[in-house]
Amino acid sequence: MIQVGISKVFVLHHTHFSRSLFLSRATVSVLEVCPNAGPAVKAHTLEHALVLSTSSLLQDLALESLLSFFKQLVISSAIDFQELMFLLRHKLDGKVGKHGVYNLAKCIAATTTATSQETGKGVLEEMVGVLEGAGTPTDADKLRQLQLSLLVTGDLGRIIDLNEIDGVAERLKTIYLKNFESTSDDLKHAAAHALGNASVGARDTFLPAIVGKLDEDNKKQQYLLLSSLREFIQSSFRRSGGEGVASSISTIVPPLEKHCADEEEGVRTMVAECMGSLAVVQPEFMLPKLAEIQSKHFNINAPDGTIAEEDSESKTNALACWTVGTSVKLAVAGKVDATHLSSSMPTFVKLLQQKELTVRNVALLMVYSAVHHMPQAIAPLLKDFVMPSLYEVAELKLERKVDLGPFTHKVDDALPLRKAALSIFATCLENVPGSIDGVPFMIVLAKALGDAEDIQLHAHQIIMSMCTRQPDFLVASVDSLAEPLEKTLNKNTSKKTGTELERMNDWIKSALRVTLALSKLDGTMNSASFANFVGRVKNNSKLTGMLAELDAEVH
Amino acid sequence: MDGSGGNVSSIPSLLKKTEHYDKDERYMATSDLCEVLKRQQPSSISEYERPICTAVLRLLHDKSNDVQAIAVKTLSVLLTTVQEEQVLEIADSLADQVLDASKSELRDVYAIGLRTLVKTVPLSMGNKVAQRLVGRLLDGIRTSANEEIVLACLDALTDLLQRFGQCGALSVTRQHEPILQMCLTQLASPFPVVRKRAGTTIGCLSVVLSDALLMRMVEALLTQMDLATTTSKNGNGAGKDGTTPSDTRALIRTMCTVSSAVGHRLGQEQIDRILPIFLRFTKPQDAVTGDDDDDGDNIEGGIDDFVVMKDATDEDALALARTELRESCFMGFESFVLRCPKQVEPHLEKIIQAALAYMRYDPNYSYGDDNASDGDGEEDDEDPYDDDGDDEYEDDEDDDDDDESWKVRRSALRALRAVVEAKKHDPSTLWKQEYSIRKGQKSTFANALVGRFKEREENCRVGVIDCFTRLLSVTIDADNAGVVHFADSPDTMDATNTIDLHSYAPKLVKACERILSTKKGNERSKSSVLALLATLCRAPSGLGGESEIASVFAHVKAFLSGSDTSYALHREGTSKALRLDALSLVRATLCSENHDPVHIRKGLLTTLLPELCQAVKEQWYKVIAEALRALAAVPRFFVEGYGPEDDPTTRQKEGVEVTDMLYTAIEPLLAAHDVDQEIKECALQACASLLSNLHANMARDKQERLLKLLLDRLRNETTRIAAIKTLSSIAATTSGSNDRVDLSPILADSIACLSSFLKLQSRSLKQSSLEALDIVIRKHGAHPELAGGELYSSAVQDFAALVVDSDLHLSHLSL
Repeated sequence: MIQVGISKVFVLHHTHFSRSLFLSRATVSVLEVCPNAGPAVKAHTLEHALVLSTSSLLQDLALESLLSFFKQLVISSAIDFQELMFLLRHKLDGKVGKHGVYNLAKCIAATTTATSQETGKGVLEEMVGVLEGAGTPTDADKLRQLQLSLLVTGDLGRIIDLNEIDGVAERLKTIYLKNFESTSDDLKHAAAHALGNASVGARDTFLPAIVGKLDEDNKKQQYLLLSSLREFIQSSFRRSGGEGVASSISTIVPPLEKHCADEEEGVRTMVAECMGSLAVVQPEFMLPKLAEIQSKHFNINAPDGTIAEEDSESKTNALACWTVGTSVKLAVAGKVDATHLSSSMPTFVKLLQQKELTVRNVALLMVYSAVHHMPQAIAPLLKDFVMPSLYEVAELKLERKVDLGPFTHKVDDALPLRKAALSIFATCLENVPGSIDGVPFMIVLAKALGDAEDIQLHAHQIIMSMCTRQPDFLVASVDSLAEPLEKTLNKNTSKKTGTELERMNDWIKSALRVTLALSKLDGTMNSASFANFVGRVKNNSKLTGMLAELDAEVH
Repeated sequence: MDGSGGNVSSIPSLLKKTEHYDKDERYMATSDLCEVLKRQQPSSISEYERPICTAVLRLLHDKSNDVQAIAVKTLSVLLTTVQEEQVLEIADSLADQVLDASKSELRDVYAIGLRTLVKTVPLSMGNKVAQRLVGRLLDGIRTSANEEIVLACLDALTDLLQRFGQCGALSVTRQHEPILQMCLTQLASPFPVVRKRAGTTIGCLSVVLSDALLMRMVEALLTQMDLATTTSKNGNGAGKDGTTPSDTRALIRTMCTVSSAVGHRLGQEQIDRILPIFLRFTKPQDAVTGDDDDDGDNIEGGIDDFVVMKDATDEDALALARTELRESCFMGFESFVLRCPKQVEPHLEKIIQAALAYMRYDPNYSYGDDNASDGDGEEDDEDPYDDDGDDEYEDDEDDDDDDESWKVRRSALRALRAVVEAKKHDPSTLWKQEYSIRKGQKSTFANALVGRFKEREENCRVGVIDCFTRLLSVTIDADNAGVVHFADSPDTMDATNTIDLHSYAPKLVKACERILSTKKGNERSKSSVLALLATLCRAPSGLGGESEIASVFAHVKAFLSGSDTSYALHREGTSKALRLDALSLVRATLCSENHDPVHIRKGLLTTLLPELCQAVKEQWYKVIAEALRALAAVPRFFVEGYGPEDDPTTRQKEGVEVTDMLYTAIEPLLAAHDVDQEIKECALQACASLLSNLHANMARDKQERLLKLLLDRLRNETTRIAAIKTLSSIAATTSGSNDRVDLSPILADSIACLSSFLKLQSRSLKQSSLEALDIVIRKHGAHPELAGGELYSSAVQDFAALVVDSDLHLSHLSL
């Protein structure tokens, strides 16, 4: 029988649908072609839309659709602007969640942009007035109103240039910075968010304020300022594809670099988010910059995974390297340009050589992110540079005893590393199967089968997917898998109760599932030791119940 | 059950009856006994166990064959009910009988009994049973000169190994070594059947052997092979120096069995020794063909040294032996290449050479054209080798029935196919590298295959074509993966991973056509050829230019024509399966992006279209559906398939003609209610394509008719999803604002209908409806009739109900 791909017509169909996904909004289309349907929309749809506007689940496409719905309502005069504004602003009550307030602000801002310039200006002026006269309220309702106003001004500032309205920009700048000192966390964060967004429209007014403040070394505000900066970078990129960021990159980067070894993890995370976003916008500048920072701070002395107490240089370097690794990880997740990334990747991959635990862990996460999101950028490095480190990590054990008074507890610091390494192997098997060398990998996998519970479970998943993709590897080394599997299957459950017992049973069942799947592969039963093991399992009275359940699963 | 036959209490009387003088009575009694045993709990018959066992064993050598048969059947039931002690007793007793040289006439029955026992005895008793049996069976083989006893023992051993070898019956595991030794000696047995059976046993054994023993086994086989080859090289013939070299064929056959069972466990070292031996029997220069110069047959010497057998002296047996040996070798290659590609890598080139040569091994037949088409693509048909004349000699004495050489060709082809699989990640060498085959001829893998399309034996020909199709297909996949590239033009051929398909396509198409145009039969070849051409459509150069497309279409036409229902009785020429394949090829051709639309249009217009339109009147629903899919792909060629030089008026005329033809073909199936679901969906698809592309050429009433039918399908529950897709695809067509299908006849109804779907449960239905609604409204909604807004007002109500944050995607689509 001749096999051909799906027919032309339906191929066209699909491309068509994926294109229309972004346009497809039935009610908006109705309003566009038939304004007479306005009253019906107002009567039926508006209520639902208002409920949706404060939903904390709302995001992405649905949010975009909702915004264009409100705009379309105003444009086709299905409802009076002031009436809609009244309805929207009264959606704010105690029941609205944190994320909901942000969404509501976006709706109000979008609606405002759809009306005439005069009316819009009125809305803005009024809000600025409220904010200026606010003082320091403690009443929850009042606070929420202020938060909403802050957010709306910010969102408007992203869409229009606030400098075009006399004096408003300067007044808002003062308001935002004043709110940084507020005792309410909500207001602080709302101010930071608004400052970042307003910088997109009126860059010259707001951006220098952020950068200047960052230089002042006011410890308390750094985190907020950095989050404003991140907001600016990301919003600006979404809005204009990075032009705005490109022209100001020389002012943004120095303060970021200065804070990249900050002792606060929150600050470093924010720095990494900024640098990661910048790398997406300006890869040709930012990726070499990150590589440079890494090389500058590459000297870390930590033979056993930890740095000596008095070695402050190594400590600073480790913090900086951590930030670089995280930035790259985020840049990859944000779909940085793959060709640029692959030219800097050889440097970043060197982070795997660091012995310091946090850096090593972040390096693994970065590699995982790369293998997962853009395998083509890292594929050439896998075999020679990444795999050897991974094999090393898979062998790593750093157990230490923690004294908890009456009893001691063993902690293995290398466990998260081994987990990360295994995840990388699993993703490589899926995305770049050619990079995996069967023999050493099967040794790792056999070892993982005897490791801690969640590593075992992950190893089970890997084997299950290999059963269909790479059965050859499994068949060749099935001998080595029998022993650890049998150990798990023979775990003693008699002392466990309740959820612990349940978990234990799930664990054993997972191992059993793997055993059965392996035994069904062509060739595994030729191995005498594995076949013997399967024979023992099938005759094990303790497992009969589970075997029956698994059989039922298959059918 | 308390019927007379189903009770424990009836056992004594049944036992008595089994001694009755009338064989029918004995038969009935045994049969009843069997039923009783099936029904009762094992415990309830425990007191009768011993007498029953004795009786059944006695019945095994009853005078009547029927009674014997039912006794064997009863035995298998008995074995699962009685206790271990009894089972062992039965085993002993059966083994006694089998090994007793004086009981030859009943040995078959006992052997069957013994094998039944091994196959049915409960797993838990396996160890004990095996303990009793293995030793005795081995003794039986060692001491007995009786061929039958040895065979029976080997069979029982094989069963034992298969059943208990893998689940750790220790007594079998312990005996692996003696069993191995015994089987190896039996490979040199004077009886061919015993040698064969011993090989099978070794195959089963190899599966369960430990690594160390497996290596020793391979070692032993290899040593014997070496021995066999050296003694015969000295011209001593068989065994003159006192040793009895095993039959080489048996050794090789065993080696093949072993390698296909556990090839992946063999190491590089073993493979490096095995393959050269195999290769010695498959020397390319011995692969004679009927087109060879007359010295052809005499150079067989290379292989005959090894197949000299004690029992084969005449020419026919010798030829048969050669054939079998070579077939085994290529089967071995196949399994090695598939099972352990890495280790085979160093030998792969030689294997390919051998297989390419033996793919043409046909000593008794002349194709009359020698190597004309095997040569390089650029060579013309006047071939230098052709100079020893057209005197096709065909040996009259060689009947086709006796000619077994096709078996060698077939297994060589299977080896080649394995090579393609092994190289599927980077098949470029198969296209680029020249392999010297024999007598100084050289050819690339791909070229050699194309040259063999002329193969005379259907099985092999299908093999050749399928092998090439596979090669082509993996190459196209590798091209998509970026590993190899197809050359854009014949000049850019420098890089090693660039493959020039341009020079192949015309040759291929020609070779395919030769097969397609044969008068009768060859159905499987034709089907394979159609599949090959469909695969070729996926390659960047497609089928080729105008002439290739036209001639492929002409052949397809030949398949389709005469399929008109009025000739239904007179179409032995092509089966419906073949017509389906032909239509699939048409669809593949039309859907491929690799052809020039102008060429396709011309081909369709001049040759194929009328037959294609006729094909929807067939009876088999699959053919109709496939024809409709092909028709759905047609319209775009009458939009895109024109160049600037084409005259607009002819274009207009053609457009109207084609549109009429398509309309006439599609409309009845769109209207029909009593047809298969697949046909309905394909008809919708064809209708969408026709309306979207060619509505400008269609009269208003016809357009309305199609749209009305579409609306019917939309309202029908089984077809609505497909109809929604069709509607949105028609609505979405925009090539200029005037160039839209006028949906107004069904606009209001379809919007109302789609809105009503939103009230139903199915989420996917809601989603497709919303998507369709949006397109329809946005593109066609601004219609004066609907401006009043009543319709929209009610539709909006339906949308509003879906705006909830529990399903954000539907909210997004509804807003």
